[in-house]
Amino acid sequence: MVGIAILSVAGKNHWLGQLMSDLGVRIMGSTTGIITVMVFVGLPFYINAARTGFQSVSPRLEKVARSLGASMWSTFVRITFPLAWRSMLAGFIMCCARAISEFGAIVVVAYHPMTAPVLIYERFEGYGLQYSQPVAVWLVVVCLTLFLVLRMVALPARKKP
Amino acid sequence: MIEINDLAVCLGEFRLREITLSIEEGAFFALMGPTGSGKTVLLEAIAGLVPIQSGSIRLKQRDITRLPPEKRGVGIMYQDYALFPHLTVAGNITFGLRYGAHDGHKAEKRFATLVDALGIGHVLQRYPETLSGGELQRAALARALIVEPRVVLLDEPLSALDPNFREDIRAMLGEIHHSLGVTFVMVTHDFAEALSLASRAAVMHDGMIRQVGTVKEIFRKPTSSFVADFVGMKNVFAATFEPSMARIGPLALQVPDRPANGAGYVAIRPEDIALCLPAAEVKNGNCVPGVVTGIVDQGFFYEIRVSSDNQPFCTVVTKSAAFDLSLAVGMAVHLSFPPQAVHVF
Repeated sequence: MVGIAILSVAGKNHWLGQLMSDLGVRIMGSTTGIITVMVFVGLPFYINAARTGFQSVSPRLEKVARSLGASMWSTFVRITFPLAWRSMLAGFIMCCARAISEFGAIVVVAYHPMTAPVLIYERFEGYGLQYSQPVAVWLVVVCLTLFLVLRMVALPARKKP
Repeated sequence: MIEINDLAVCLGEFRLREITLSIEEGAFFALMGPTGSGKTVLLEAIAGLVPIQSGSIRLKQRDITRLPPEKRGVGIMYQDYALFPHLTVAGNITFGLRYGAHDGHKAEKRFATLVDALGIGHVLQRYPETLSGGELQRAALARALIVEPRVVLLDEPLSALDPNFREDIRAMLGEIHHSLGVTFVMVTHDFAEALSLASRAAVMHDGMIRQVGTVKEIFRKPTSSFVADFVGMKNVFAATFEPSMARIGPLALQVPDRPANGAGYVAIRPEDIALCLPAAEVKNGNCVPGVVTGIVDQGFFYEIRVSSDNQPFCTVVTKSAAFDLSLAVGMAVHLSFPPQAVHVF
């Protein structure tokens, strides 16, 4: 569905697609297309996690910082961001993990150059299970690493004295 | 001097209305009221942390109504202390020194003085999550005071502390106020706190100020049944008046002076009512016969509920007095109190 939606908007019959082709941006069958799809499916994960992170910063902390003389910008830099960056990073990792495993939309928008799931699919279809397994192992390793990093980020870095 | 004139704040469903208040330079002012009456919102309005709908706030003759919080010189300390969790205690305290014109050398001296006065030297390198309530509170106070605010707003500074620890911190607050001469505005719903620390106070209810005056005045002479109830008068009755007499149903009470026109209530503090056996001789002016309907253990004393002609009275007795009188529910007793104890409003 995501793939069809992107194709509809980026196609020649849509003014946006027209504009992009005039600018020399090609979505179909290109890295740009893959990135577009990945951002499209992954972004909600990032936004959700980042939003939760910002919401968890008590407004009182920001109010106290303001009352101590910090401007809005310094309050963000010294209070809000240091307390929320962990959630932002966690969201980024989840976003990556979600994007890396996307198959359906990428197959529709940009079969070539192949992403790992597409490569697995092609090898499985063309040569059988054995040939698709190495790619799958690589994908699993990358995803596991991502989640390991996520776990480390989610845990508080500071140890209690 | 803080002058608030006809202030209105609208926060969704909640409104502050017609807030007019003036607080003298260097005073310790208490804002009292039940939960949800708008005390914290009023503090935040003074600090510039909530949008103001109308009215004005002046601080030392300067209009600060539209000034951003960082330009007001008003410090605030919240009930939960709101220490920055990612900074050490020292980092928290010195947070505000980067802003405004703080002389580095003087600031260092003040830091040392405050840390010493508040006794938090041993926790400077620790993070807030590892601190006890009292330490958090003192750190938050130091953080607010180090930037030399003109006014310090305290939002229920003592309510999150252990009761036996509260007295120490209360005394410390009083000392700090005394030695610095900064204006303190404290929100509290504890009357004992207000009595021991503040000189003047205001009682709030439903986003409005109901009474302003010295704490003693509010305590002894509430001007409305709400305030009377809030300050623990407990015995508040609707009454009709005759010269030097008040009638509560069939009961007639002597009152100290001729009530003002429009007065409709009498109130008596529970601790002003003496409880005795019917046989005892009554020395005080008013004597009301009644029946004990309830005995409530309040820790250090008993609260005795007495019904007289279906009017519920409330008085307090020490535990030993209750034992001497062998008080029990259903017992006939007399309540006596002098005319001066009857407050008419």
